[in-house]
Amino acid sequence: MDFRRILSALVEAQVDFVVIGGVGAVLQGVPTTTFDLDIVPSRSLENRRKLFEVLEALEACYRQHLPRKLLPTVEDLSSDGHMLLMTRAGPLDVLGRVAGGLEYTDLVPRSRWMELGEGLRIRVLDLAAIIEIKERTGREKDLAQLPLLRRALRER
Amino acid sequence: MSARELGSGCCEGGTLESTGLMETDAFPPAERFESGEPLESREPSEPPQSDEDGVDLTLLRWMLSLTPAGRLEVLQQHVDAVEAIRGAS
Repeated sequence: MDFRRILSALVEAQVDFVVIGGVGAVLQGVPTTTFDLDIVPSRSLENRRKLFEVLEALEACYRQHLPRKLLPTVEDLSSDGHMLLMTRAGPLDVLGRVAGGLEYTDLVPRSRWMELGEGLRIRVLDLAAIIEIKERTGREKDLAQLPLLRRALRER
Repeated sequence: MSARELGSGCCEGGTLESTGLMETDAFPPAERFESGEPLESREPSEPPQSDEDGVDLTLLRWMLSLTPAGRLEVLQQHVDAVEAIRGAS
């Protein structure tokens, strides 16, 4: 897994996206771990085309069909669903909507720019919003993380 | 650091050098532990190490002290370490 490689590829291609999930939490100081990168991209046609080129360059394919390599299409990227991909740099989840209907345009006002050095600047969903999403999904694994996330929010 | 004789009753007839021990801060003279001072002492004003939900506050505060780039590096190193262990087994 190479988080920086995937993020750099997206930024260099000028893809509009918001980082959520475990990486978003870690970047805001939560001492947790994750093995994939979750992003919610803009689903404008132009952005889907840019994202598609990045995914092609990273040799992205759907994880659930491995070892068969089923490649995502530009049309796939307009879906509300969750595209669980494997790339040359590790697992990447491209999410159309999260927490019962939130898409990129809903998340942008609740995100912040973060500088990661080496010219890498990305949008990350604010920790309070990450917490709300986990509360909404109600999955056991998300609820289990809430004490840690809430404490991190208080400590900042 | 120079070799020093331990004194009678301990490694009788030997010196620190012959016993392989050197007197350093890590191996203080025995008399330092005879003061009756407890091995652990905690000032009442010291902050707790975990909260009521068991969250490790020391770890959390350490992560918060890093830059976002530093935090990403920590995550990357962790994932790399796990992948290395998986690859070795």
